[in-house]
Amino acid sequence: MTRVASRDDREPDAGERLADLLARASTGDNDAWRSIIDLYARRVFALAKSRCGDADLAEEITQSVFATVASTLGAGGYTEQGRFEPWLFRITMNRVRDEARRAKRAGVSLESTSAPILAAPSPARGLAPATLAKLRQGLGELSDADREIIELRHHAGLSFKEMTEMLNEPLGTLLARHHRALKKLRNFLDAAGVTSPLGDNEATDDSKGAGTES
Amino acid sequence: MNHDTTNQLRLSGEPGPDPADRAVESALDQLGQAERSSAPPTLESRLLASTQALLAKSGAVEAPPVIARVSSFSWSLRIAAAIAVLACVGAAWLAVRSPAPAVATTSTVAALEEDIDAIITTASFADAGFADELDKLDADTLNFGQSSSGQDWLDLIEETSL
Repeated sequence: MTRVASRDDREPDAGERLADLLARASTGDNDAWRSIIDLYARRVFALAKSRCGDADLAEEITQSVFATVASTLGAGGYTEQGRFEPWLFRITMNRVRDEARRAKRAGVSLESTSAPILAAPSPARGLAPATLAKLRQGLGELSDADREIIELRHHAGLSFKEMTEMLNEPLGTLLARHHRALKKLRNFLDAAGVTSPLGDNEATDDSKGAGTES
Repeated sequence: MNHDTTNQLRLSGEPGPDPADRAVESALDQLGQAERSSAPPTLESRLLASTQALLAKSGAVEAPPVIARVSSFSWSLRIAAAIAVLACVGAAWLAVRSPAPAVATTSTVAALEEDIDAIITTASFADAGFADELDKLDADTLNFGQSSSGQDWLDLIEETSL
């Protein structure tokens, strides 16, 4: 199983290990590059998919992001100073925005493609697919800035410290924005009848969600 | 679930996170996990296949050849620039000089012709005078020979030396 390193499972020496991997990858070490892909591919994919709502497009964006990283590393254009993750996810967000602009020019809404995903079954434990669908729907109701914080935090697995480096925003601003976004989501879920996303009413959520999504 | 200590950054006296917020946060963590798990199982291998060559290709590009190419290109540019400057200077010089040469060439040729005529004339005069001088010298020599034919040369020398 591919290991996905997020803020929840980082090891104390993760920074040193990452620096070593990046240094080796920049010299063409394929094993090191494979490890970097294993560490970050799914986090990049999750962020892209949450934003654009389409798995194929998310994979395409992920490919583009890693192609950029590989080219930069191979050309010696990156020196690790503990900011790899902010850099990686900044590239991802830029690609997502590019796709959004492209879709807008073509007259297609990226959000409109998310309908199949809302109904897709989720392998996550503890939450019903309908509850996850409601959460996705609630994310769509947030402003871009609030949604970005939530997705960087919970999909890409960035810490607030990394987000301050990536977004050039003060920590207090990000914490306040995150808190505000959580409150909006909670209100949205309350209004949708999902009173406790983790609570005992999962069965109720299932029935409500199924009715909502169909 | 969330081990990020940044989340616990709060002012003293500020109430802790709302349990409802924690529940939403936890739900969002699970949503993120679901999105990561929804990636195709072959995502990593496909990424590796598509970017491996790119990484190797970029890594294979060594700095010195690039510098050498840049350097030779730079020299080519310098030579081309020098030629261009010379061409410009030459063109400017011709442009400045272009009205004059037609007149100058004509006047130069005419002057040269006049000079040649003068030289020829002078030479002819010189030749004529030289011939007269030769005739005169020849006549003087003859007269001197006739006048001195009866004189004793030894006496003449003695007189001259005295």
